[in-house]
Amino acid sequence: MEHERPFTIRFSENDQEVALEGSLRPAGAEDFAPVRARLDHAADAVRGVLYLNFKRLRYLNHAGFLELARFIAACAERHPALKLKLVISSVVPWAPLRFGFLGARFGNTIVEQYDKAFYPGQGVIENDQLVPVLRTQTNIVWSHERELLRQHGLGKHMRIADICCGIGDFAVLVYKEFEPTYIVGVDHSRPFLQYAQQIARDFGITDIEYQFGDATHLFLPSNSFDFVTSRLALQIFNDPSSILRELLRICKPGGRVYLTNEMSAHNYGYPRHESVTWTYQQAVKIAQSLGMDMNFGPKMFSLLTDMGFEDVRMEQIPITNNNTAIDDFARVIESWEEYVTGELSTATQQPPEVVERLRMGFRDHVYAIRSRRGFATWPIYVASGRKPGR
Amino acid sequence: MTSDPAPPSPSGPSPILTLRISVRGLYDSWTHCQRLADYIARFVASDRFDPEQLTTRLSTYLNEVLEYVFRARPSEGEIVVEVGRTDEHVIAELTMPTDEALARRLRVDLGLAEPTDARARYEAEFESMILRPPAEVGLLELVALHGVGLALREGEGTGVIVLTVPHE
Ligand SMILES: C[S@@+](CC[C@H](N)C(=O)[O-])C[C@H]1O[C@@H](n2cnc3c(N)ncnc32)[C@H](O)[C@@H]1O
Repeated sequence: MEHERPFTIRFSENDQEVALEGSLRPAGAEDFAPVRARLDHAADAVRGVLYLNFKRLRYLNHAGFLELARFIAACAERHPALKLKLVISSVVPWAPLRFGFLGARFGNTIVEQYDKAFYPGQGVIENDQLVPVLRTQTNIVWSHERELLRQHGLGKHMRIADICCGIGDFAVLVYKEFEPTYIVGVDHSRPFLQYAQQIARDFGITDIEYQFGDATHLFLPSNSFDFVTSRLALQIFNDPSSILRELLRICKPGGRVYLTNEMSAHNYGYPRHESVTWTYQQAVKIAQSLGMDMNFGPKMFSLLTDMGFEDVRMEQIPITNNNTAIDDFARVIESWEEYVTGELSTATQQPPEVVERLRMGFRDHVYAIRSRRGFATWPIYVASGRKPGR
Repeated sequence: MTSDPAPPSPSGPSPILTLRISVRGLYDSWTHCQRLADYIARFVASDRFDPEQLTTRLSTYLNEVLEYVFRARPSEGEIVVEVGRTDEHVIAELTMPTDEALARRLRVDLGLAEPTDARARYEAEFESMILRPPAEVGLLELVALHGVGLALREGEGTGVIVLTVPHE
């Protein structure tokens, strides 16, 4: 987000949109009059819907808020057929509170939070139900990843960005292990970031910066990080290249971008493998209906190569019940069971018999993990590439 | 959200910054309110986890209080802004000189910003605000919609507005 910018208002007749940006803090109605005149003019000039774009309005005082409300009230009288659509971003913290309030009070007003629906699976991802899932996963992956990170070029005293950092536990582990000169984690889930901040506070860590932000439009400067990570995140986004482009942009020339993603269809457990396999295939389909590609892992090599990365390296973390603490592994699968049969099934309205069968498959996977003669896997793909130039 | 003006911290908030502004200086320009609010917010938030977000929030709230003080027009003297931090909150105290009339006004307006039923009262006020010029409900809105705490502390010829802002 930029520093305090002056106020601007622009009307595009073609788009039927008025964009208000910067800082709007009038002393009162008189001070607001020129803005009101522009708004009235726009309302007179359009038919159907007038878009009021507040995405980049960083400041609004209460006086300005009231004047906007008066404009909306006046619109309802003067143009009864006109709808006002307020387009807002939650990256501006007061915006959902105030405009939500207006939306609830005025019949002619609809509030659209642009970053609420910017990828289809968002509702089921940015939710604190996912916290236990992420936590247990990081716990068991870290023992493998710690060494792999070195092999993929992470060293001590680097500038690191973890994009889609989730609950921030990876950033904490990296911070302790690699003593970065600077590390920032960005995520678009408030519950996750709150959790991340709490953890850092509890651990007495003050040097990790966490930012609320959008991975497809980062506010971080270009060419400024030695190592950029994004773990288990591209797979949940319907347009992974738009994130990867941003990771490439903020990475220094010669620095590396490091990704991990899954191939859920290859999660396996024996015995009872048919049930296990059915469940993961079904889960992949459900996720697909929300725009996620849970089999994204193996595709990273192509994507990195196509985007011009050099020295692309890729491998698999073969998590099995032979190389991982059994209780932890089981807990990960149990947290998936809860998440997929709860949150995810509800969001996609799965019939009860499907939910039941999904549940059985997860339980059979846990059975394979815990059984003396069972074998169970969860493969994770790791890939990294170097940004050209230097 | 808390309504406590002074959160339970045995040692009190740890101080971050103190600013003294002459009342006359503030009245030179309306835009002083936002300049001050932005400056203080950016300074206070600089070492926090998400400085940009906290700056936006703090500046929004401080500006509202400064605009209130601007409109309330204390007589000659100084306005002192002291900002400190506890584990949970940023606490800003604005001390201004008061006479009888201003002290009364502060009591009324900050009484209106009392946290109990703040939202319902703000909603009721809002309806009439659309029709007539606003009473001092900018402060009530801070409590009702944004969940910050506001309180008044009175001294000998001074009034102190205490703004309590949760870190997140
Ligand atoms: C499956 S989680 C993985 C989190 C973390 N990297 C980990 O491994 O535990 C995916 C994360 O991506 C975040 N995310 C998705 N789209 C995002 C976007 N456009 N901007 C920022 N974060 C995003 C979600 O909020 C979520 O925290």
